[in-house]
Amino acid sequence: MARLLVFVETREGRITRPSLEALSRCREIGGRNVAAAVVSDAPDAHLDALARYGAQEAFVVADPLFSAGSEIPQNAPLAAALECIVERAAPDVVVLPSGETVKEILGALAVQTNAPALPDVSRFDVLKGAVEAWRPVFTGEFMARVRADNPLVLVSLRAGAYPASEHPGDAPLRVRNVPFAFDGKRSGKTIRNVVAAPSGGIDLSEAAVVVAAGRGVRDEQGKRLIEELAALLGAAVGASRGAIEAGLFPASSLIGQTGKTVSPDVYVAAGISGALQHMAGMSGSRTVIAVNKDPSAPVFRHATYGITGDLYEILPAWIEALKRR
Amino acid sequence: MRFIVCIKQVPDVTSPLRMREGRLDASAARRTMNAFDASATEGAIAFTEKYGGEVHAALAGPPEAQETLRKALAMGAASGVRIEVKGRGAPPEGQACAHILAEHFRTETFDAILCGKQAQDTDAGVTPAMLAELLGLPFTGNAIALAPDPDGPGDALLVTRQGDARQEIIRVETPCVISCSNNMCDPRIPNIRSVMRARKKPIRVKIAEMPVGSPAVQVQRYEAMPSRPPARMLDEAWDEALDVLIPFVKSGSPAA
Repeated sequence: MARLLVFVETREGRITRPSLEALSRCREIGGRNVAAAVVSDAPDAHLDALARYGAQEAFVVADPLFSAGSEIPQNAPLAAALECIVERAAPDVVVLPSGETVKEILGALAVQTNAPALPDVSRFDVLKGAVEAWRPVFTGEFMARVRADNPLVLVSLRAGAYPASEHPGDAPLRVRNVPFAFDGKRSGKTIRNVVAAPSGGIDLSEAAVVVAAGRGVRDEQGKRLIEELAALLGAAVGASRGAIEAGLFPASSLIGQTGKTVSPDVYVAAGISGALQHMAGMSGSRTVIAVNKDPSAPVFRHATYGITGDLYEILPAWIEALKRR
Repeated sequence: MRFIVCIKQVPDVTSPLRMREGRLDASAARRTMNAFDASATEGAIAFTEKYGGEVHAALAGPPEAQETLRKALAMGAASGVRIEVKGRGAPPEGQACAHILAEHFRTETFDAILCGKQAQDTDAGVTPAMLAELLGLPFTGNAIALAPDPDGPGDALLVTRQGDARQEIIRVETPCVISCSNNMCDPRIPNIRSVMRARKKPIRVKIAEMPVGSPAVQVQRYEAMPSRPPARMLDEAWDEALDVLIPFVKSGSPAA
């Protein structure tokens, strides 16, 4: 049976949800042959969660280089740490949660380990030693079935592709510390400044509900409606490129081909026309509720429920109705 | 600053792409410069217009792809190289392409190689980091702004990178490789004079071997995206949609 290694990404002291989804999928495929790779300044805090989600073994690189305040950009040391772990763990398949962090390192890791990479897959399986996967291509117009047959294959998995589920193993987690040294000067890069997203928000890739704003959200008043509905639902706020260009939402809230991929239980698209580039980032959503003035907006082709109308009238009515219930 | 921009010709994703028996037929599709590469080209040209320097373009592809290279020249690049990959057959996939480009760049002079963050046809985005790794150069992905670094030591660019949760302004020593988001800029549309001028700009053709032994990914077949059932249009009876949202309503008074 294939040996799978999952890169478990941590952010603000927690394991990210897409990492747990990857771990859960690997457990379905590999049973007991699932190990986790943790790269952190304080990895011990995460070990219990790894055991709960069914990892049998944890390969750990602990280094202050990976603290949130590190002034070395994370991609070069992270790729180097994972290379050390891959060498030690000798897996058949490495699965990484797709996101900007992983997008920045996947190519480097593929070269370092001389392995093929299957980026951004929405489904995958290991069959007779080869990895077979489906990945959206052509801005989400088509799915490509891809196959890589190699002693080591790298896969990055889109957020929300599989559910995360706890399933503790019957044996205690075996922890392996992997020696690691990285010369910060070697990376040729230093962080000069960080523009952090406003804190307290709900991470898009973690949210069960996403309320997303499009070009139809024209002003601060519209933005407040989006935020109020999101707060009421415990939802994360997303945006299309149009809403971000209008300066109303931060670039980190961009959903689409060039931004984040989300697959929440419910996606509320408010004033979003439904350009291909945007839909590529939310097509995995289970239920889509779309509000748009234009009855012929392409967003309705992707919606479960479509409401034709002015979001400035509809959202306040919804907020009132939801508060009453 | 001397930039070389890597560009790729792709089928226009908005033009007719047909699928038959698991194969994709893009022969009827208009071909165009990958939009992300257009942003990288614009980013480099806008930088040199403001701070000085020059931009060159490199493309791996068949003779038909030369028109895309001309487009980069019309946008303002000074010269172009087309790398013709020997042997007919499938175009090189990401890792093979990175090897071909790395081989090319080993004999080139540059401060920064700019790439689009992914190609619109494969949507993979692995080649830029592979190229940097093969060349042993610093790499930053998903850049949304470029600026000169006025302070030493050594030469560097200040690159603003959009990460998952934050933006980082990173000092990257040159030479380096940077992949660019289309949120960096809106590519210019060259006017007739620029298009005419571009015809006189030099394009070199270089022959490259298909790299052997680079780990392969096979595309077995394509399928249409599974389509959703048609939307239920609710007009003014929203209850059905609201019923979906009810379970998520937070108890207690939500923060406004």
